[in-house]
Amino acid sequence: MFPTFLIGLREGLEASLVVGILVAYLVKTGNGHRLRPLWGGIATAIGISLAFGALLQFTSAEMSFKAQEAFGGFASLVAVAFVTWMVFWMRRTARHLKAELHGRLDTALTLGPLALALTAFVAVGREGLETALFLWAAVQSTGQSATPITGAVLGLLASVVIGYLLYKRAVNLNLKTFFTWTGAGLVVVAAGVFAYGVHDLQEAGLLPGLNTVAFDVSEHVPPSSWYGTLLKGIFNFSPKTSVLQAAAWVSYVVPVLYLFFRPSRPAAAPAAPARQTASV
Amino acid sequence: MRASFLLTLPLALALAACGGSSDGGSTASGGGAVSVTSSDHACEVATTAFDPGKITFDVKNTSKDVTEVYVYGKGSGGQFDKVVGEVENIAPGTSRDFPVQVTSGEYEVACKPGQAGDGIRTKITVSGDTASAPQDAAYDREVKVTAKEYAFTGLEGFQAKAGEKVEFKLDNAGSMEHELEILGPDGKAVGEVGPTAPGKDGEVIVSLDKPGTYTYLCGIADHESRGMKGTFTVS
Repeated sequence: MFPTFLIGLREGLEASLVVGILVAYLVKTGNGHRLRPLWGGIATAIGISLAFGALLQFTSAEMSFKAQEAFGGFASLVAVAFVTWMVFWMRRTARHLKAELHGRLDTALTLGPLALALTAFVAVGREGLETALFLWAAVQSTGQSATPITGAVLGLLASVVIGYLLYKRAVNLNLKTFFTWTGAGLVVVAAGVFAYGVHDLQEAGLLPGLNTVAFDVSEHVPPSSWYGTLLKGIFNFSPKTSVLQAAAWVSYVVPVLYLFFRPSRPAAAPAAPARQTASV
Repeated sequence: MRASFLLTLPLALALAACGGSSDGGSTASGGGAVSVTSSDHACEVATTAFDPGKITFDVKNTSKDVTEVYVYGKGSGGQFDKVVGEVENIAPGTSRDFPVQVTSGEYEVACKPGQAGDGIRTKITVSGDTASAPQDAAYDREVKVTAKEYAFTGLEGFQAKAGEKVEFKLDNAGSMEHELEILGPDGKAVGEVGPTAPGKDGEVIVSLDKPGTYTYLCGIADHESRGMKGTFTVS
């Protein structure tokens, strides 16, 4: 049961963390009524993933390896774009808060419902198909044993609980700490997703260099161990990382964290790493 | 929400459709899935000689660990490191299947219990064309099917007993490319004669193992909906 528990935990963890932070953000800024589109996005992602996964597992429909990897890769890149944009959107709101311009919060939130729904949708949907396939395979084997499905469901539930605990903790932080740490946390998570997406596209053969390995520590960090699971679930850390994957991670995390921690100026709203050379 | 739903679903379906397209060739086992058993210390592949085309591997994990199975072809360096197919996250006690397209040559099937390392490898060979594979030679009887725009003839009233091995010989008397796909009572493909040019023929041997209603059709373009479809019964 433990192995399936760990897979469930790993697949659910990253989405739970992102959703936990988004919910905390909305509640903290007094926008609890905006939660509805967020849940809508999550429910839609789960629904589509389960339906499509069932189609693949129980009927003769098949998805070629390349198509599946390409889907995973592109979905990851879309998720990274949304989460990055979200981070800077939150950062801008934080600045209004700092300037005690509470009234302007609503302006920042006008981007609201659809953007929130889409972010939640891609955060959950990215790993949704793979998770659904894994779940349905467990369901299919319940004739012989109910252990796989029990472990998988408990794992997913555990990831949701962790997301909830993060939310509880985050809601009680003071605003400045909240924005700094959740924002930086999201950037690191997004960097992992970006590198993972690159790896998927390498496996699909759309990007080269799959076997040009930067490092391989799978001897020391077995993917099926609990710590391997947590590293993978939170940071998308692969024990065997290709050079391109590592380069992608660095080239995302360095400029984005720089932009994130850069002292804020009134006019700046960098959704993309557009270089601004004005004095700080 | 609606917008994202409408955007995503067709994309996913389109990917599935292109992945599930019926390319030519039949597997050595007559079109059924090839079982792979991944245990703690072994990787048993039921068949190791194949015809070119699509192979569906059905992986059963009997080990204590989560496993994954890769099919590798030869990469540019001559090593078996080019991924041609893969399935991850197979929990202990569960089964997953995955399709692979292969051409003539050598491949390695690698089971990776614990999801790390190079895996336990089994070499498989893909050779020849569909007609000459020796293990396909034995069959109980032959039935001729003629394809034209847009109908099949020859299978009207065809019946078989469960367990019979039948060679379906497709003769394309039309002016377009046609194929013959045969689906079992559960809707899963049991064999097919891949795309066959006008004036050419092809054959496939199918083990009609399960009783029930089988469906045959042409999977090219919209030929099925234009009438190239039918059923027969296995008792």
